[in-house]
Amino acid sequence: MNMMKITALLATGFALSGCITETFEGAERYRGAESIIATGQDQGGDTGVLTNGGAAIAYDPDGCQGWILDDGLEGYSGRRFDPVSGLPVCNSAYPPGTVLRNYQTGSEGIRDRVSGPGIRTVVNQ
Amino acid sequence: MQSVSKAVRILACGVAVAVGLGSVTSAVAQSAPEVTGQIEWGLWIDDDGCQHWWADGGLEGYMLDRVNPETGRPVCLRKNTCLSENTDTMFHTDSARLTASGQARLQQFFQGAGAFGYAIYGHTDSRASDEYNIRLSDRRAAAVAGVARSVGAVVQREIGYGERQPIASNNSADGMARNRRVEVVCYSY
Repeated sequence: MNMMKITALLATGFALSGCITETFEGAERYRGAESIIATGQDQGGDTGVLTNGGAAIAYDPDGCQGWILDDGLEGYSGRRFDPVSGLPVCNSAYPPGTVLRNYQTGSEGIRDRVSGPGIRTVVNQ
Repeated sequence: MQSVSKAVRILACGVAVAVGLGSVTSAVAQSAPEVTGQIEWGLWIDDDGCQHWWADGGLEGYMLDRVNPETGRPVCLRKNTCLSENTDTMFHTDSARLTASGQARLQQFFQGAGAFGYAIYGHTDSRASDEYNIRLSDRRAAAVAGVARSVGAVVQREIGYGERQPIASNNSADGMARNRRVEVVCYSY
C-alpha cells in the first residue's frame, strides 16, 4: 500500500462520501467465493513481498514477545517462538506493551500515523 | 492495530452467527458454511528462522504463525541457534561432568554472547534407553546452564530432549556423532 493508494482513498472518500470503489490502485471489488481476498504480495505501487527478518518486537500483556511489521496500510503480527523447543519467548525486561526496534518494513510507502491513547490494558494474572 | 480490531470484530460476528444457527437447527447436522473467498498465503521468516503465513488484503494484512499439523509446534527450518556443539569433547564419556576444555569453552562463549536470555537444550544419539538419554541430556543441559549462570548469564530454560530431536540419522557413526550435542538459543533483540 503506497501513497497513490492513500490519495485514491482520500479522493474517493471525499467524492463518494466514504464509498470505497474498485478504482483504488491494486484493490478490486469483492466478487464472492472466487475472490482472492488477500495475497502474499503487496499489490500497490510498492509491489513486493515482505522481506524476511528485521521486524519489531512487541511485548504482549503476558510479557511474551511477538513480531510486528507495519507495511503501510497493512499491519502484520506473529508470535515469537524459540526455534528449538517451540516455546514462546517471554521475560520481564520491559513492561507489557513495549515495542522494540523499527516496526516499519521500509516499503510501507507512507509516513505512519498512530492511534494515540485509547484504552489501557489490564492484565488479570 | 486496525487489522487486529477488525479481526476481533470478524471473530465476534462468527460467534454470534454460530449461536444463532445452533438454536434454529439444533436437531439436524451442521450445514456447510458459506465459502466467502480465497487467500493466497505468502511466507515470511522471522529472525529466529520461524515461518509465518502472511497476505495483503488491500487495506488490511493477515498473518498466521506456521505450525506443524501433527505436533502443533512452530515450523522453524533454519534454526537460529547461537551455539551447537558436539558433546564428545565437552563432557566425559557417558557423564554430565564437563571436561576442562569444555568448561573453558562455555565460559568464553557465555561471556561474549551478549543475549538477554538463554535456552539450553541437551541431545543424545539413540544408543541406550530413551529414559536414560533423557536423564543424561537433562543433566548435561543443567551443567551447561551452571557455567552460564556462573558468568552472570540469564538462563530462561534448560531441557534435555535425549534422542527425541535427532538432526541426523542414527544409522551411521557420523550421524550419531552429530546428534550428540548441546544447543543454545540466544534470546536477543
